[in-house]
Amino acid sequence: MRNSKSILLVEDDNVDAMTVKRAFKDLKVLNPLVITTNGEEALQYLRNESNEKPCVTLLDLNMPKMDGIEFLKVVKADETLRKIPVVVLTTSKEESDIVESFNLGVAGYIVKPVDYKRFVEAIRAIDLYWTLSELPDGG
Amino acid sequence: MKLFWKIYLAAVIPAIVIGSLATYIVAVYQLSNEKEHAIGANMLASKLIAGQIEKGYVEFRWPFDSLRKLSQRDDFLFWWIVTDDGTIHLANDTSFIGTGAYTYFPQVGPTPSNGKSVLDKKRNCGVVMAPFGKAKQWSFWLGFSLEDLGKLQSRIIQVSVLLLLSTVGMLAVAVYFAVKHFTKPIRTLAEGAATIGKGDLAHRVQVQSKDELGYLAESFNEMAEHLEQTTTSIDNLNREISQRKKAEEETQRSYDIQGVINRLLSLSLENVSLEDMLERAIDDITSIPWLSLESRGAIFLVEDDIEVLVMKAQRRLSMSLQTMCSSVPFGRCMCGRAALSGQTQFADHIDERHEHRYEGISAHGHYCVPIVSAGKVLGVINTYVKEGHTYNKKEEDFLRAVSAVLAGIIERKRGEQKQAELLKQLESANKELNDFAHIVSHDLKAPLRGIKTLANWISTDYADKFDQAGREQIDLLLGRVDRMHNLIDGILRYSRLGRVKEEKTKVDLNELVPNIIDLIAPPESITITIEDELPVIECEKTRITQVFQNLLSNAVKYMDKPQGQIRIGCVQEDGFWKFSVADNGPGIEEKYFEKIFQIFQTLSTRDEVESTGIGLTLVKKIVQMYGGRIWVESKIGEGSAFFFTLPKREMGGKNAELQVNIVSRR
Repeated sequence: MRNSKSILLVEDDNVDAMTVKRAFKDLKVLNPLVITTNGEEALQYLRNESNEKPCVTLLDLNMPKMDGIEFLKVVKADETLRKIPVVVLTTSKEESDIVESFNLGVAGYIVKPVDYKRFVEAIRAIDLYWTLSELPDGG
Repeated sequence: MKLFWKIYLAAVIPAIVIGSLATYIVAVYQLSNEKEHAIGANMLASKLIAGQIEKGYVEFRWPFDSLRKLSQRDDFLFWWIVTDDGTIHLANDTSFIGTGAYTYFPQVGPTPSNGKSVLDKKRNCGVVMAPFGKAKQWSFWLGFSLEDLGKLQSRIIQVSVLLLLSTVGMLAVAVYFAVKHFTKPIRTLAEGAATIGKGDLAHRVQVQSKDELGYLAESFNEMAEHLEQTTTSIDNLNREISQRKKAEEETQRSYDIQGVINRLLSLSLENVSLEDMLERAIDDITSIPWLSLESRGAIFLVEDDIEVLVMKAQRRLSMSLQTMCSSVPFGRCMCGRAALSGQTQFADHIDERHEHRYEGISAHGHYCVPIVSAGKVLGVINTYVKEGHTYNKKEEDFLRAVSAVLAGIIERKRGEQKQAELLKQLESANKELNDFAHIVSHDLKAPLRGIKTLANWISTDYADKFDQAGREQIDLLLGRVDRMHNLIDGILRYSRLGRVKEEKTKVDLNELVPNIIDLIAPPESITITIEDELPVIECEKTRITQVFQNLLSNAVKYMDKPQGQIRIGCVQEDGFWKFSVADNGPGIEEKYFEKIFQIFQTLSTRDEVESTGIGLTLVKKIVQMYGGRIWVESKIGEGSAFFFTLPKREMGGKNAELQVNIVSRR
């Protein structure tokens, strides 16, 4: 990534979180990975002033308590949080999910590949992109 | 006075008058003739005797014979020889001699030389005087009686009157018959008119004279003919009018019945609850003017097959009755009896059957008509009539008709209710199933991903710890995980068909199908040809793509010949597009023709050809969603042909046709 700010992962599946962590490790992504298991928890983290704002949020959609779409609706309505780019990382191929996510201003939508190698490729692409792309200065 | 008598008298009276006058004139004439004659005869005799006396006086011969003859005459009265001073000189009656003749007949003046006659009506006699002598100083007076003349007169009168009477009598008879003959046709006509007037219009008069009367009779008959015709038409008209009136009443009745029934039926089609409808039914029934029902009543229904009537609707019933009759067991009171027997119960007063009553209940009667459907009592219509009302079959028939309609409506409403419930259940079941499939597959996928990832890591992280068998097993595990993943994806795709709706667009299959073929990328040994011009259809592009993709990829996947041939065709058939995808592959046994379209059914083992068995199921569901049909024709070893139809109308048939024409002209 462009900076060394943290990356927020909102993911309820342990193995998926492990996969991301492992991919980060394999790709030597140095940004700290903050893992929250649902939207509510992620919001709490984001709204906690003592926490540094992440540079990117990786968001799963199907989650308990508050799912990804609900989380997006809250975040994108929030003046201070809306500028943080959100990349959806989900298993859902539903057209409706894709459309709704982009309507809510996501920066990308990636369907989690089943195969780990391709998963790593996906994470590599995200890392590469956010290395090239400018990021808003986090508050 | 009858015409006959008028004409008769008109003819007879002048005849009598004229006859009488004529007779009178003739009689008078006859009489004066006789008088003349008598006078003349006596005059002649007296002149003769006067001459004889004169002559005898000269010759001294007395005409004794002549005087004797004279005195023997019937009308002889006297004879006198009178001197010119009037003294009777000689007479047949000597007592007169010496008396003055003029004293007897003062009206006789001096006698002229040619004689003279005098009639004395008082004494009913006449005297003729014939002078004689040289100086005519004598005169012979002959007195004669006019009695014979009187007799004659009366005889003449008698004869005349007789004659007159007989003439008049004959005339009267003749005129009678003449007039009778003359007036007969008129009478016939008059009688004919009277007969017709009395209503016998078929009556005709029989007059066959060739005069005006005959013509009149003819005209009369013609007139009668017309009259008969007219009257017949009037009669028919009247009959028709009365029939129509009757029919009109009947029509009004049926109209009212129809009106009630129509209102009920149309009401039943609206979204009105059964109870509201029943209330309206009571209002409708009681509002019919010719029906002697009071404007109150109730309708009971049987619920849940228990033999109890439950009041479902009522109009203007007293609170006591509403409470008392809120539920009525079969057999109890009027309504219960109607329900139990299935027969109408009629009462003209509150009789012993009317078991539900209360203090101060007002006098009334009832028609309680059961609502029966297929021999089953669904309920009872309870209507009120005034006390002492007479039973009228028409009223019962009407109520029965309404009850029959209500039975149908109740059955239908209940059916609809049941249907709606079932539909709702089905809908929710369907939705649940779809959601279930979606959620389950999603939830199944997540752990599966975990298994796969973890198995992957184990195989890489601990590669040196595995022996050959261990590695094979972990590979098998990963393969099975992939298969399960595909199956779940299949379920997801299938369930998405029912859940997700895409917008319909015009799809030119002539463009789409080649694209699909490119996407499948068949090996070089297989040729795919499009044999017909394909239509432009209006549909969800993804869906039609899925159909062709699945059929084509199946044909490619299972191809067992070195020179594979796949042909795509399309023909129009009975308002449908009939598409075909035919191959020269292994073919399918007929017993599997149905099975291949069922979900997760494949004919080859999974390890031979990796397949989920969802493809044809998807195709079938899509085709059926568009109202089409899919089937397969095949011969083992020679190949298979999959056919599916799409209705032209729903696929924008008109445009499609147009497009095809343009395409074929190109």
